[in-house]
Amino acid sequence: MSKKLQRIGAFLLASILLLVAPATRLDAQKQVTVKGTVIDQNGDPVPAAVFYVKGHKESGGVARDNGTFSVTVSKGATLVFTSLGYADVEQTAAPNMVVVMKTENEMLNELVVVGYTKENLRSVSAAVQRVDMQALENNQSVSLATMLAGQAAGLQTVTRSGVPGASNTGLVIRGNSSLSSANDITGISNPLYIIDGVPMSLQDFAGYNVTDNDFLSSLNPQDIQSIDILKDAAATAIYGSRGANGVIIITTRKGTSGAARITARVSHGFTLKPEKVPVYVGEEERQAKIDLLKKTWTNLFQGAEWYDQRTSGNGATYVEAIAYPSVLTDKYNPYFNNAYDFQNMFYQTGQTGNYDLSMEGGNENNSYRVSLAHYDETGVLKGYGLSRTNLSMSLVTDVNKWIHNEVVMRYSYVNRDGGLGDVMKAMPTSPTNLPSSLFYRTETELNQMSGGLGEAYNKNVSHDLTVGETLRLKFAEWLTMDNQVSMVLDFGKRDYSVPSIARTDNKSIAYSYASMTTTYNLNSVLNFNKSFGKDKQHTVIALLGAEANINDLNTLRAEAQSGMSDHLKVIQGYTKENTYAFSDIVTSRLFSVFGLLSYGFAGNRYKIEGVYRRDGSSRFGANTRWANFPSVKAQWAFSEEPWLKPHTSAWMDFGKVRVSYGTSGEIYYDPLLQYNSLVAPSGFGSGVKWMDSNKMDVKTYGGNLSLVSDFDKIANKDLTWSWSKEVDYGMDLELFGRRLNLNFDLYSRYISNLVYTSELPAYVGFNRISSNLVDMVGHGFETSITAYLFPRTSKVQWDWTLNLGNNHMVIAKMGNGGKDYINTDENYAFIQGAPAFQYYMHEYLGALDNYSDLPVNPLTGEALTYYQVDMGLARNLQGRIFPGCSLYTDVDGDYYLRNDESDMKVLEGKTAEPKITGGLSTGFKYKNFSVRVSSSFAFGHWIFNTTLYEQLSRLDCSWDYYQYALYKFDESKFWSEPGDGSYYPMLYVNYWEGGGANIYRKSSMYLERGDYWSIDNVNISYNLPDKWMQAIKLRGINVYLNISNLAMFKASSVLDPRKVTRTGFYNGEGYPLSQTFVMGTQIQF
Amino acid sequence: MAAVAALFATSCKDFLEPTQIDLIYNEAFWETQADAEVGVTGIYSLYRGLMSSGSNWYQRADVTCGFVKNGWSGGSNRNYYTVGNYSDVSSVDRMWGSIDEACDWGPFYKVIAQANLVISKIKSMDVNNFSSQEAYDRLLGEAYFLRALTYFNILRVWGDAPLITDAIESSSQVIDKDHSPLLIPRSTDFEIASQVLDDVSQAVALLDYGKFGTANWGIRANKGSALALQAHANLWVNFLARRDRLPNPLGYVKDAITALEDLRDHGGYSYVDYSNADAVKAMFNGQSSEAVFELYVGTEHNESYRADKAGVQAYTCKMTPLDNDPTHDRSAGIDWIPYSQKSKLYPEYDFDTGGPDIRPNLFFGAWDSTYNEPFNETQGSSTNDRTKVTWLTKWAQLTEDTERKQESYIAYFAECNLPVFRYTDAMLLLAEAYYKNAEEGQALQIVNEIRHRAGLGDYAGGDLLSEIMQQRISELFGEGYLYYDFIRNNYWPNAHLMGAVKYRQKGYYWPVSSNVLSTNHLIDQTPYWNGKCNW
Repeated sequence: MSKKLQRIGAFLLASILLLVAPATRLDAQKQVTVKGTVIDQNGDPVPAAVFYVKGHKESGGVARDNGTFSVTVSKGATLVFTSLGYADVEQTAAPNMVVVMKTENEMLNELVVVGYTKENLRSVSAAVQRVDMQALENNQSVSLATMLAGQAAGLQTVTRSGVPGASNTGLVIRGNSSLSSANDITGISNPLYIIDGVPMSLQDFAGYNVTDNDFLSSLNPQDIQSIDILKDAAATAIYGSRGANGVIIITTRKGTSGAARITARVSHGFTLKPEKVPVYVGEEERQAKIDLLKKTWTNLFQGAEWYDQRTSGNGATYVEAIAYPSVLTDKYNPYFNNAYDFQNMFYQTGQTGNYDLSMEGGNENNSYRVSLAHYDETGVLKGYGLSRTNLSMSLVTDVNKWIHNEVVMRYSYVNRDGGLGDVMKAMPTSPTNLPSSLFYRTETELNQMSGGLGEAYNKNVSHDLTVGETLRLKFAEWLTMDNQVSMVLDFGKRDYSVPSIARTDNKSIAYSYASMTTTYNLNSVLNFNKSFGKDKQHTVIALLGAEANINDLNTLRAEAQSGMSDHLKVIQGYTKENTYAFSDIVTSRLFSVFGLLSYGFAGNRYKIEGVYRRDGSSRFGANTRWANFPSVKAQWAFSEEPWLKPHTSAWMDFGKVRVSYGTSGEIYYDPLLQYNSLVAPSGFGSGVKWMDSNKMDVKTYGGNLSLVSDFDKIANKDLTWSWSKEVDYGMDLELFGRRLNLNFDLYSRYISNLVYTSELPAYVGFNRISSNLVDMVGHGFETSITAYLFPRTSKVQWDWTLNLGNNHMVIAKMGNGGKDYINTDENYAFIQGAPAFQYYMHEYLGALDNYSDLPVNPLTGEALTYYQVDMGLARNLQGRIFPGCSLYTDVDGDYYLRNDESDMKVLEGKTAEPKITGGLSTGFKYKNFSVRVSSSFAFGHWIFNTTLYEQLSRLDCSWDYYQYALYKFDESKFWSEPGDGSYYPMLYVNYWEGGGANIYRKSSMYLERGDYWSIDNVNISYNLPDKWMQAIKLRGINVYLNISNLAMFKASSVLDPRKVTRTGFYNGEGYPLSQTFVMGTQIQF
Repeated sequence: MAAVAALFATSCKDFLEPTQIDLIYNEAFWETQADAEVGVTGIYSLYRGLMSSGSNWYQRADVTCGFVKNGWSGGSNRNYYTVGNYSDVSSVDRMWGSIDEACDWGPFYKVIAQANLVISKIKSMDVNNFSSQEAYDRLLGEAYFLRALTYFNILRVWGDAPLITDAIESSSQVIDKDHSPLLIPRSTDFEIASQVLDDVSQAVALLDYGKFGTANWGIRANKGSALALQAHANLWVNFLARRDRLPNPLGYVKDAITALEDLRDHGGYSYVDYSNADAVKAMFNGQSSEAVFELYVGTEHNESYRADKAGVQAYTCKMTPLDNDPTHDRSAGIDWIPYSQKSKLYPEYDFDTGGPDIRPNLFFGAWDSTYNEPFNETQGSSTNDRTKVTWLTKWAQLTEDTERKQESYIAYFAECNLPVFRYTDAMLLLAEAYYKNAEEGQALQIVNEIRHRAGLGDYAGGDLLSEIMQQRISELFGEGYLYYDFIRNNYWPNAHLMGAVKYRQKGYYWPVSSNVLSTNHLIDQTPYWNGKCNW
């Protein structure tokens, strides 16, 4: 195979060299030779624009696909340019013309990229939405996924944590069907991304890319021409086994011909320090802690003297003497009288800088574009940040009438500082884990605690290179063949070195990881497109193609501990036994053939289209290697009916209904499930990393090597694709002179064969097996409404766009006989008929007001008791809770509340998946001035307030109470006396010698509504007047102000309700919501 | 274009079946003798991993006999030193670890799964890929032996259990079309026993006798190992047959005699001389002339475990602490022999003279201590003198690894092989078989050989079976046999451990864990334990 790849590489290289060679041609003619480019208002080429000399329709010709044209006319002639969907333009002939054609309608006449071809949005019969790139123009967000929040109906931005540029952000189309609880991209049912024709599965990177950098953050938004979202199975079926989660097609900018044009853009921004979590500091902390202890004992001893049953005669003072540690009593001790405000130490004002330079131009045969960009971000949390450099080049060439060629090359470099997390001691970058402010800290410790990584070294570098080459052979106007060869190379390197002083065990550690992922994609597509018959009323489009995809995943991990010197940041000189290395190489391949046949009648008033794809993947067993994905769709442009038009034309410009049915698939990301494997034994003398464990890594028996089965997997030769079968009903309307555009989709889909793991009975020996275990069913609607408040020709323009998606997806079938799957470690359950990831924990019933409210066992007359609630030691009431404590549901009905599963339950009807997601945006434009505001929202879901849980559960452990910070709670919400109706139980510290009530355990107490509406982005932009520009000979100057995260309206009390784990737990950690202000300017030469 | 064409031209099948180089998978393995060899040592590795925890042999077979106690200064004696009442595990100290966990047969079935795979693969391999027919037979025989041995363990602990002999290679063997696990119920103990007998006779036929002094002596199964297992299994089936009143129980006794006589006459084993303390130590270290079958453990091949943290040593051994202060040793946390039990172990030992039985002082430390509760502060008879804590020294051969010394911990690594069958066991078993076959003279002769070596005179009493059992106790305590010997012969030195009713209701079998019961509704709890466990 490698030889084959070398050949492909050589071919690519040759193509580039050949085509980059300048191809300028100078002609001497008697008349004036006019060359030029036809572009639309976005600067994109208008392909196949027809032009002629005014009054002489027989003259002229057709512009090329890249917009360029060349014609010889008499000097001073006026040229007329026409193109379908664009307003005609008249312009005087000049040597280097740039003709700007405006679309008649911005919405429905756009060409969108659907399934290996481009189509006019009006004639697309599937659920496809184009993202308005204007809305993203000056958005400074590093992640494309964040930028797209609210920009398309049914498209959801999933953010698992706050760390910028990390791979826990993604996009989901029509609901997340992933069954993985992972917080990286494997926990997201990622759509297939097609970037300039190259299909890429982000899951392929998961587990192999060592950097955890977000691939979508490596793209420069300025290089993106368009983003098309393919939502229903009819649109995605042509992508077969990888289309089930929808498809996102990203097309990058190509150059347009004409004189060289340079665009420069510079912006600088700053991110405000986030809102701090209210916490007691210094003397205030000491007093608050003592007060809370006193309150606690008053409660515990029910107003009686603080007297402990177990002591004889010491009385009240006994409790105080043993329960006040010296940190609270010894206030003059310099070790205990400090007042560190850690949040002040690790938050800072963040900075962003963005520098873009691009150049484009060309002649009638060639067009090129080169862009160079650099982005730099320093996080609001010290130790975090990101820098990115992008270089992108494209060259489009019409070699002759028959051959058209496009070469694209993109390179990006990302260097991310991701903090050091748990490998360093006491890095309290989570405001819920702040240590007490009182204890003395050394300079070094303070340095680390303030996020300054000291001697630590941490780099996450990724290099991404994409090279794509497309050769189009035009056999006739109606028959073309596209051949594409492309390669995506992703190289990641992660280096980590933590000095011994920063470690609790005083042993330095160093990691060095590298990964390389290469994807080769080859396809060849034959495209037939012809209209014939009377008035050309019959239109037939046919497409036939084949595609091969090769994916190689490589990783290398080296780890070492206990180095010679903290100065050494790499793995050198470590002893052999303290060094660990691991490498992995996995290959997977996909081969597909596909076809499309479409027939339209009467100018596509009626249209029916069928798509068929057949895929074979190396990831599946021989029994199920191949699969077929058919789809069919039809549309009726009812507004074009002659019998209707006279009645509706006054207010309806266009109207169509469409219906589609299709199947597509999804490949599970682990490519090795079809193999049984043998591994070196473990479990005897193993566990080399832990001091208490055996430390002898035994892989032999009696000195002879041995291999044992990998008991975690059994070859599944029947493992197959997940299937998504989807039906979609849609309607598109343009009303009132195209001032109101409506799209509406109603869909239902059934996803079968999702891969999940089931535990096997013990006698098998093997622990578990992955199989196509779960089916899900989803339905929902999407609507997208755009309204222009003023006529489209008015100088003042004000538009509003609302995108709304509703999705309800539940588990339709669980293999294993429909048995509930409960994960007690991560507190979630899968239940047939309910959405995936139901919360599974204690059910909180409120604070106990009176003893008499405790449920009483009718058999024994005994009131409910709690396991490990040992107020008994202090008051001889073993297992009893007292007023103010939390009451939980006694699930198993034994009147004994344990801390384990026996008293946990599924909290049905509360899911972390929003019912409604979407966005509202508006744009205002008057002359050179424009304002655009985008917002996104999600409603109808629940999140677990991890922040509050972590803060409160510190009170359940008296040791933690002294070691960690005490937060300022809103005491009015906590129980203080019977009948006060408060939601939370009392504020109560675990009494260390008994009296623990364990009242803050993980329970429904912390579930809060997740609803939010976030004003994501505000952009104010001004173009300097044209006449000034002419004076200084520039094409234009634009200045802008961009504000991100301007405001958030939310139902919950967490800092940023968007940052939630797959299982519904708030995960914002130390990275809260903060506003970013960016000032920028763009200059066009 | 050329590349596209070139790629399309290659066969699709090859394209979609790339060779995976990051794992060893069945399709690309099992070709050479070396492949079979690592597969077989894999079974040994898994079986040793299972047994190295100590709980699977020492605790199940020896602690359950009631001879030891465990308790520490200021604390109470730990329970569960008998196979007792499992109804309220949460309220008592769990010296076994989780009782529920100890009732899970899952880990045993991992060894079975590996053995099933290896047997199936070797059988399908070409003999010509092996150096000789003998090499082929040996590897197959070892695999059969280890499967028989593992099922024999399951048989003695749980009785009825699932019986699976197919190699698991494909999902279709474990889940049905609806992805529900395929479930099987428990086979009867007699069916399991029959499988053991079948496998072990294959092993006997395929294996050769070992040669004392060779590298694999004792630690790899040979014909002698298989014969010992065959005899043990036959005597166990004899017990089952008597219990269930099946025809011809004596046939199994005769088969056991045949096997053991073969072992005695051709196995190349001999008794270790007890008058030489170093020889006794070497015997427990392993590969002695008594080593019928053991599992290799030792730092020589870097195959050991932290004895201060795991294994039988963690339960039984005093170890020198880092500061060399003997009062800081692990006496407080180990199993010790109370004075009240000592006469049950060595009835003929006289505390005044320190004899004549030489075994107490060969196998135990501080045997002369007369304390019953050495760490109970409230009893007058107690002591805090750690040198007076009686402990088992059989496995106290340790290597200190100073390289791995950390803080107050010393890394002690175990050196003794894990015992499975010893020549003394085989000979006493032969005596038992002779006795059961009404050949008392032959039996007595063996008993007297054993007694003479221990410094005792000829047996003069009238209850020869009790004497055989007594010699098994005196010789084999701490080696993983006794509880099963007691079941087989319904012989209980601590009578409270097994009442007549419990014995009749098969209460000698362990309960089945909640994990097993909840994942397989075809498995029923062992009837005796119904309602006696809290799961």
